[in-house]
Amino acid sequence: MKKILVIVSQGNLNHLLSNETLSAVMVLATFGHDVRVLLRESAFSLLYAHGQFDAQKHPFKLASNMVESFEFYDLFPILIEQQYQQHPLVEQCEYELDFVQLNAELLQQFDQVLTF
Amino acid sequence: MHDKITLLLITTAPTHKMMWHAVRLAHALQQQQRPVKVFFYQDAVSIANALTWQPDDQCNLQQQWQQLGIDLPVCVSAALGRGICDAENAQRHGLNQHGSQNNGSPSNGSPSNLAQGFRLVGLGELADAMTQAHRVLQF
Repeated sequence: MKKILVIVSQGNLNHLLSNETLSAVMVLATFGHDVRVLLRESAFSLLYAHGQFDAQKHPFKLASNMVESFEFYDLFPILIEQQYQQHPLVEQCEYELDFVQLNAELLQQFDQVLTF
Repeated sequence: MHDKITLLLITTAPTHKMMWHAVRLAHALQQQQRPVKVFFYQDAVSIANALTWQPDDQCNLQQQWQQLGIDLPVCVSAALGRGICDAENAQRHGLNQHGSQNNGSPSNGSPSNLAQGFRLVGLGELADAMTQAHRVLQF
């Protein structure tokens, strides 16, 4: 089994890719990989729970709702870069977060790094 | 050294230059007799659409993948969501050639547009491939 870092920059509700990315994350975790997720840029919107999917209001299923189930896959804490600690969506977030420096030292802790 | 598998995880669309880089790398690894696996996910699954047409004077990336002669797994849910389907999934999901669901009634013929050499698989195969891979390169 591998230690995998998944860096996600895609925002909630922007496109279907966010849902596919989180699906892949969950499958990798289900198959026993040690997966850590680092959110950055637009992906901070995944930290904010938008409630129920409504086809009249939302173009896609809410990827942010998939984040809620991270606890079942041992995917918490979510990694956030320290420089974004004061970001409003990060500050309001109720999930378990871990603030890190995205640098070579961090990357070297993982066998594989995927970016979406 | 040569038994270390390189996994190419391809997520960008065939219209993006990264797909070209990926297939070139796969050919280069194969020429050096280094084991290579691939997995197509997200927008990259469009490479498996047999109904893609392009002019003769343009690179045919689908053919270049096929010429490798290796297993070409494609994420089934990403493919189905983008209109790429094999006969088995067409029957399972009640899809017909007129582009609509037929509520589970038997399909007429085999409405498959999955290009030869490509295979629709679950994401579990990606997880397995990542277990086996010495390194993963994403395009």
